[in-house]
Amino acid sequence: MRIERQRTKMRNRFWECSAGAIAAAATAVVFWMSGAPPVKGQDAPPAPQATPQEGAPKGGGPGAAKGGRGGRGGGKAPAVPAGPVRRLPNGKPDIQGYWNAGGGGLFSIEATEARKQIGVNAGKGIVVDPADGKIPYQPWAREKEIDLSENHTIEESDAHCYTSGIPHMVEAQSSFQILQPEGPAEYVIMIWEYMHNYRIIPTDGRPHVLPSNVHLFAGDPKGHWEGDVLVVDDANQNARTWFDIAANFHSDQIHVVERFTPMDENRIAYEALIEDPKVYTQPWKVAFNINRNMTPNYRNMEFSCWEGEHDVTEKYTLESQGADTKNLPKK
Amino acid sequence: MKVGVLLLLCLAAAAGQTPQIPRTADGKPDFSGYWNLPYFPNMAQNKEAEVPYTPEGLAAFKNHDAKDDPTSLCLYPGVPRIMSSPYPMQIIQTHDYVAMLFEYMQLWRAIPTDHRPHPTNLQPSFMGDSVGWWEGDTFVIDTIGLNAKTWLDTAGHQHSDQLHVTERLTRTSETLVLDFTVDDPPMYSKPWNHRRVIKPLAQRPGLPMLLEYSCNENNKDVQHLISTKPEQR
Repeated sequence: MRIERQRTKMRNRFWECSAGAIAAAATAVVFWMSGAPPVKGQDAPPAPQATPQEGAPKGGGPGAAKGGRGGRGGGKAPAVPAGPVRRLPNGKPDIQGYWNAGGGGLFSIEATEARKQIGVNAGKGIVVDPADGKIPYQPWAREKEIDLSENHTIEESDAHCYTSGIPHMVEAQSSFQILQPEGPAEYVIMIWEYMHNYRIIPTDGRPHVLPSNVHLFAGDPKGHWEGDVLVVDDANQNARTWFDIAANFHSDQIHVVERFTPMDENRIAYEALIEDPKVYTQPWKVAFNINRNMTPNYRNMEFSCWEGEHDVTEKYTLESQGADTKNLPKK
Repeated sequence: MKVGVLLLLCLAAAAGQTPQIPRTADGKPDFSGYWNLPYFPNMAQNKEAEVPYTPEGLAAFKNHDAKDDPTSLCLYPGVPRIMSSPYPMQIIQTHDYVAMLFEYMQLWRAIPTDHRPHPTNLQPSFMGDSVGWWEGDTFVIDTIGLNAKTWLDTAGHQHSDQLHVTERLTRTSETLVLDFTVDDPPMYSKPWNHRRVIKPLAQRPGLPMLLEYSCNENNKDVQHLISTKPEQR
């Protein structure tokens, strides 16, 4: 079911890509997952020249502290020792380049047993607070999550090509690129292959300006640096995105505070504090590592996911009627 | 006063000096900022007779049906149409990249500045593969690998997957100037040249400069679009 479902998604989302291109990408992912020694490429580390950062957490970030819970490459350090955090001329950490999130939360961000009916395997998830790895839903919300995941997976936001919410965007399985332009206005730009998402994060401390009744898929990110830590406050999200396939959801009152902590030149510890008093009993956290993509000459590919995923509707309609969708005729 | 300014500009030009333009720390023209892309729904600009069609290109244009505009299905507009779509764009510029972030369809173009070659195993895509380099104060963008699923404009000028677009981006003190060439031998008998003057985006108090654009709401109205082909009316 999971494989079949993924196949359906892949067919819809990547049909513009050739089998060869997908194979190449898959090879790159396998290479990366294998923890093979990095090869010098456009993003390969230059000779160490920066001084060790000040005020950086010691001994790994929140994800590392938990052993990089779950996910592809979470907590896995490159085989070759990485140099210190790179620096921009203004002294801020230089985190530019291509990165892979070790979120692994595509299927379920919370600890879960296997739920074969929705294609989710057992896993630890990426929730690090509460300690049981479970999202602290209010009782009604847990019931809703179960109902959504068992009966309404067609509502999954990715299936409809919606712009990803936060932190789902950061968990995405595709690489993303970070740019930090110079100039008086400070920004950190993040560009994803997945869902062709991008985020423009001003880091000059400017406040949110949107009224509270305006809600966006990815919300309104406002950032600032706390020492070497990029802190992003994301407000004004809508309630139309899920965190994962397992129907973990939020309301339009969600407020996320993210912390990107550069640990060395090739690793960023990511942590997101999630608050939503309409849905959860308490704030909770996800954490994972973001590792530099060591694939030589890596570039984001085009991700063409557009509206009208008619195959999704048809597939789930047929399944809800008890049909075997594994052998649907090709169109 | 105006005469005086003009005189100064003429003197500067005569002396071979580049007029004052914003520059980055490494001395390149600074394109960064918010820009308002001008809407050009018709590449021919009402000079249809001057379009250098091949017979195939002319037939493709005449046979197109406005109701089939790919963008109505949220398919990406492609290059060069993205640069003539009337939405704001933010340019982010580093030494290594010129990144264009578009409000329209939440698209981006991250163009490397190192004059790297196109990949040899390029697969056709909606936005193609863009590489860039500097020629003095001009940033040149070379784009190939475009599929034939997009149109050049709202008017329905077509292209093939052999389309090769060369853009030359320059900076004036107030604007960006984009000169670009549509080179597509199967559809056009000679390179087709265009110019766009891109003005800064005015501040919108109380709003972010770029808003979220979600072209994914299952556009049910597509089926109601009216065909421009008489036989289908």
